[in-house]
Amino acid sequence: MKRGFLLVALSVWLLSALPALASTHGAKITIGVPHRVLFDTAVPIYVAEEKGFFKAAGLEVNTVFVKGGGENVQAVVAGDVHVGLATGLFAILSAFSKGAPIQVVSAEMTGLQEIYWYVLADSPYRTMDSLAGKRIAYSNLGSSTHMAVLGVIELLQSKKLKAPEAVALGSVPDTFTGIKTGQAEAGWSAPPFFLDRIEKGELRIAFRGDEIPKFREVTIRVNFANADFLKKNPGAARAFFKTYQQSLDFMFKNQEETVKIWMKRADLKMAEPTVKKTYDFYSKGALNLRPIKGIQVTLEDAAKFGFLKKALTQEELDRLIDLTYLP
Amino acid sequence: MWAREKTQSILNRSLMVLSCLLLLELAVSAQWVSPLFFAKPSAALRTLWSQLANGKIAGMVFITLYEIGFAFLLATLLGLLLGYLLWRYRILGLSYELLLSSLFASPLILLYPLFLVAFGRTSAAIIALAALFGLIPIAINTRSALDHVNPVLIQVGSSMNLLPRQIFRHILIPAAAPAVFSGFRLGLTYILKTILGMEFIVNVGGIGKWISEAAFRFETEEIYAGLFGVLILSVAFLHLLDRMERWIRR
Repeated sequence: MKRGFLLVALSVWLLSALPALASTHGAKITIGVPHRVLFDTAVPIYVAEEKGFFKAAGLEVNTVFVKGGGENVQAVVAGDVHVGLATGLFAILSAFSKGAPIQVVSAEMTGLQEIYWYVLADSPYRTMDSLAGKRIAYSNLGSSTHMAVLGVIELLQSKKLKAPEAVALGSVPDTFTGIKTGQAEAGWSAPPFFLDRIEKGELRIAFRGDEIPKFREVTIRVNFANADFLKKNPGAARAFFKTYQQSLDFMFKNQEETVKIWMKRADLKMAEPTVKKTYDFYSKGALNLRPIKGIQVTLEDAAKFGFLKKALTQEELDRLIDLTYLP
Repeated sequence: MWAREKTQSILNRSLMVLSCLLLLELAVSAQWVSPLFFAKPSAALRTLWSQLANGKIAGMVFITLYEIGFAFLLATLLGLLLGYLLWRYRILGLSYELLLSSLFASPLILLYPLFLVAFGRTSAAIIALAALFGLIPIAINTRSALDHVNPVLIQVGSSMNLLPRQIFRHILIPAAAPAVFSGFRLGLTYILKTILGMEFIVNVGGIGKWISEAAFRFETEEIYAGLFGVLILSVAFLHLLDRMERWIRR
């Protein structure tokens, strides 16, 4: 009698678990990653692949490296990429407001603690305040570095200092070239880039992103997905974000091993201890997948810079942001 | 007869362009293609017009025009001079023409970071790279054009006691003009491509920058408006070049 009951219970459990197992086993997901090297952007994927997290979850993940957030949004909207990682909210808001089938599924980076602005070693500028009236570089219009430099301008003006000039110099290497050729006084970067040069004393950090109070509690980048994909493959999406969280946990618990994986996969040529200093720029809290903070600040800035022609309604926002796929 | 053929060819061309535009208009209206990625030509042209009328992109158009004009002027002057020297001094021609042809076949656009270092992230970098791209076909075609002028024509000029200056102006230039202008057309095409491409990649300058920013903001109509603007500019420049060729060959 007892054995019969157990058999029935086991059968019921198996039957109820089957759809979930079937929906993730061998599920194929294509993800868009906007950078091959950056810690928060690429390392969770490297770790998940190297530690076999995807395989264990029954996922077949195909990684596509794209050039920046704009390209990531286009790829996800087109459906070529199912899940886009580490993308600024502006491009997403702009596409969503035009009816693109995308949904934000998690926060990726809150605050700007990882971005820093450097000056050449012989530069007289040592702090953010000392750069008043000078030229500070950002990457491109609407990027997180652009927002940050505008934040710096606001901050310095509030201190009655002369506003610096925001100069678009492009990517990290392009910006470095610009700084070396005198096109701006301070250039932006993010670890691990230039940590070795800073160590050698060739460059000096003038200020860091977390010195700009406006963005400390604002989610700067998010992970998002194609809405049709989410609708048809909710199990796969949940499994993916479970492994993503697993990778983040691993990255902060096993720093030595993570650095080794990172150096191998991103082909970093720096010394291991230098690369490990990246952890000084990232806190685990900043990479929490939920909540998405400071959305009002983002919406206001998006409208200010032409990414949103009209404000999103609460209903639209609820449709855009869906955190139910997170563990 | 010639006038009739010309009218016919213009009609054919216009019909072809209009058919393509109509097909795209229909495809987007009927949603055979996603309106997220394709814009109706009518909407794109409206956007282009409104952006020009409200002055939003007038500055950008001016920058692109200035870059094209300046790069083409540089490429023409340097290309003609180089082509003439390669023809005039045979050993120079033999030594360097192959090198120039190889350069022309190589993806010089990949050198753009060097130009950004040398000229900064400014229009100057775009003009310099575009001029380099443009001068190569001009120089190659100029040398080849002068090389292929029928020697009988020069002999006739000499027998009529024309001065070297007169032979150059009245025999060499008209005889070489068709091939030299082919070089100009090629040069201009490369200059247009380089300038728009560079503006798009480095996000500096005019229409290319506008298209790049529109793509980032997912403004499909603006992207197509920019593309139409580029097409109109290309056609206008090539038409101007045709007119100039006819004037020179008179």
